[in-house]
Amino acid sequence: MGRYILRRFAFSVAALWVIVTLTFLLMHSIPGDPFMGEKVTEAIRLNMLRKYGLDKPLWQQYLVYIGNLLRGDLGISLRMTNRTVNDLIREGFPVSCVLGLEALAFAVTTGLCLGTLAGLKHNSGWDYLAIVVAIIGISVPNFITASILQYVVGYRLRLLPIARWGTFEQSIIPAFSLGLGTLAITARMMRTSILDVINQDYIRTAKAKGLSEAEITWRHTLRNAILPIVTIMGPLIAGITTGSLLIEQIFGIPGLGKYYVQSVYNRDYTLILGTTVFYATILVVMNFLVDVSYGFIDPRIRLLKGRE
Amino acid sequence: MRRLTIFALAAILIMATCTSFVAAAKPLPKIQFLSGDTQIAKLYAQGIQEMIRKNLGIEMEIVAVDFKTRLSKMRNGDFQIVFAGWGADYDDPMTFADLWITGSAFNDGKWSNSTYDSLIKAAKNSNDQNLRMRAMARAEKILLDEMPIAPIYWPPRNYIEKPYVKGIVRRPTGADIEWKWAYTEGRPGGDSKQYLNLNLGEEPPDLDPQTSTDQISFEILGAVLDGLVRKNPEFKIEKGSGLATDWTVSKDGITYTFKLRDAKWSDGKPITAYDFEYAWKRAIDPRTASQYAYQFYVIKNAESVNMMDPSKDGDKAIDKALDTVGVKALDAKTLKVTLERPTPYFLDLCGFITFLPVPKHAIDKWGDKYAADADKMVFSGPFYIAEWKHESKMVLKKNPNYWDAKNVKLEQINLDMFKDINTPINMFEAGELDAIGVPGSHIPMYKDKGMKTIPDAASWYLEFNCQDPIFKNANMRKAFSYAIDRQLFVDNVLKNGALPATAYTPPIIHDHNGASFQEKWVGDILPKKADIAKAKKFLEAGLKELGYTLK
Repeated sequence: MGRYILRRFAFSVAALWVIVTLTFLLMHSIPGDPFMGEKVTEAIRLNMLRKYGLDKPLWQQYLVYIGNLLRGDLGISLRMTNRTVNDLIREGFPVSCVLGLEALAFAVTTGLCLGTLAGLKHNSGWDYLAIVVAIIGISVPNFITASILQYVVGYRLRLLPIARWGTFEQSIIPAFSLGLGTLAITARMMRTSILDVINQDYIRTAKAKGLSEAEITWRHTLRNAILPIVTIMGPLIAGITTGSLLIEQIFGIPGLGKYYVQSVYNRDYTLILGTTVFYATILVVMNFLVDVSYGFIDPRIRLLKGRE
Repeated sequence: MRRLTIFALAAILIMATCTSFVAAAKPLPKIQFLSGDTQIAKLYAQGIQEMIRKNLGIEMEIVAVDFKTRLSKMRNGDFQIVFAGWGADYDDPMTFADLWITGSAFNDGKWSNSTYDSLIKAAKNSNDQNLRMRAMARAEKILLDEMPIAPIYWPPRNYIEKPYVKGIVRRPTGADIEWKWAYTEGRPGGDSKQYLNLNLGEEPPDLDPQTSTDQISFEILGAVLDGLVRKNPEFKIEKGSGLATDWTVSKDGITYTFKLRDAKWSDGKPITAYDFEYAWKRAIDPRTASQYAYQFYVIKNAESVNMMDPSKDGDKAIDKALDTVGVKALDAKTLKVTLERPTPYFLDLCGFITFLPVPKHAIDKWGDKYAADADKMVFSGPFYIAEWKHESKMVLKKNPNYWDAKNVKLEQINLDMFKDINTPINMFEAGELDAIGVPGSHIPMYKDKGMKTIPDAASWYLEFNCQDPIFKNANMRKAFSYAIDRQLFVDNVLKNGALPATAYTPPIIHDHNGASFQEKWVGDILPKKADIAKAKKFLEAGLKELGYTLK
């Protein structure tokens, strides 16, 4: 297990390095720069590039960046020059994370229950409900759900705040809208997975042994069926906790989501790299944790990996 | 036999003329039309594309790219036609006229006309306002005769306020909104507390006045800092409206001497003329790398110092050169400014955000972190920032240290940062916001419900690349310009109350007597409706000169 973890770790670092390098090259290949503006003269633009070291050859900039990165310094934002990228992430991530976890908690529990019910009670009303929810959740983009809920629940019915950020009430509509897609994916996968498992021989064996329905479901069906869900959990958690541009924009939530897009529009090089590195790190860590958690859920994987 | 020969000869003749004709006139290549990639920008581009297709029979391909790519293509001359615009920096026609002189940093189409250049130069070097206005009006007529740009529309700003909101001043230039004189009267529920809930639109990116450039930051800076002058609600500059109680101007219009009032920074230290000298020189200093440094170029030696290269010239040389810049505090209460040339709009510039002072002791204390947070800056205006939750909300409170605090009625302004279009509207309808800007999509909804429309001091135009093989030809440019139905465009494409641009400088820009420069000096040069006959005549002439034909 130790060697396995070590190898995975080395692999993760290499992946991050490739991501940083590719992003660095790609972002410098798009036209424009952070200081190009409607009212910026060429002379002033060059002066600004010089001030922030962007006039140096690309390889030098790259080496400087990697050097700073190794010390954990993501640099200053080139659009908000009095704030560092570290600060922006430090302030934005907790917000996105709280919202994401709230969405996730709601989506995964509801999704798992719905998927399980649908799978166990195949072709019943529960099953159809799950299918409808899954289709809606996957096909309707979250910003549409958010806008409709904001208008109906927030403005028309006045049940919840329309927007702003800071209280639990203010987070309900955003978290629900954000989680709906995840809910749908989880429900659908769980349903398929359960359907797959309940036809397996070991379930039949368990039934033949005379175990109660509850015991079969709990000890055999669920435990086996949940593995594929755990697999997709890594990228799902990474995606949902690092912010969503549209949900944040609609409700005025000070999260990380907007930076991924705005930084590219603004050619805010340090922020582009900073958010990319951050997201990639979270993703890599999540996938790593998922890999490790397999071992606890499925003893077969633990044993196999141990033998390696 | 003979008849056959004649037929053959005739046939050869016809074929020969045909081929020679084809060889002489190539079909006009497809024209690329550079535009922004937002939904609205694309829609506008399609409107123009359609009119050119219909009225001239010319096909244009829209190349929609993001903002920075568009700018980069424009600066590199990599375009044929682009939809572009310019917003005024100060209330004088020069803010528009200056763009198109030879060698201007913003003249991307590289149009050049020596008469235009000399007229603008004459206007710049004169202190005679009548002469200036005449020169700039003549220059504008040359511009609209050669048509390196084809003005299309003058944009408006639409907004709606709750009936109890009073006294918010909206300005065409500078910080476009002013809360100093705002108050509420008769807020429902008998709430007599003086506060406003408004939407800022997004996080202000930079609250350091010397480096800030965006409208959002400008709104805040105009509220929390005070300059030499502050325009009154009628947009006039009066003595004593800002920190300057009085000033004298030398006869030649070169030297301004300002007398300052007793006033305090929010940290209790006095505001002095030294703060102005420091702040202005800080903006001019190339090491600050201020984007709007060019606003100071009317001050003596400012441009040459700003053009210095810190990596080559070194700190010492720059420090020495800064001493020669024409801004000097004679004592704590007297500021002397020496200009490069007479600049009748200099007082207007003094109200511009980049000219608002920040004291040395504050910059020394917080360094690069100045204005990163509410507790890392100083205030001198009607309000101060009491709370700033980045990307979420900002609370302004009345500044008790402001010299004119007795005339500030508002106690608090709560600012949200909703970038979304629908959210502020829902909030306004629910009574959680007291005023909002009305986006184009919602104009029909608010048009008859008290929506107000005011002109924006900006001009939008098609810019032609005068180095392009096709658009180097003035007749081609004019054909395009006359083929556009400006009235139809504002009525059916923009649908936001914009005015069809019958000239270049928008009518909201004033002359020295407070009259509209466009109305009084320039007039309506371009037709509101398309003049297809004229356009076709120009097109024909242009195609002939270039040796092109339409298929």
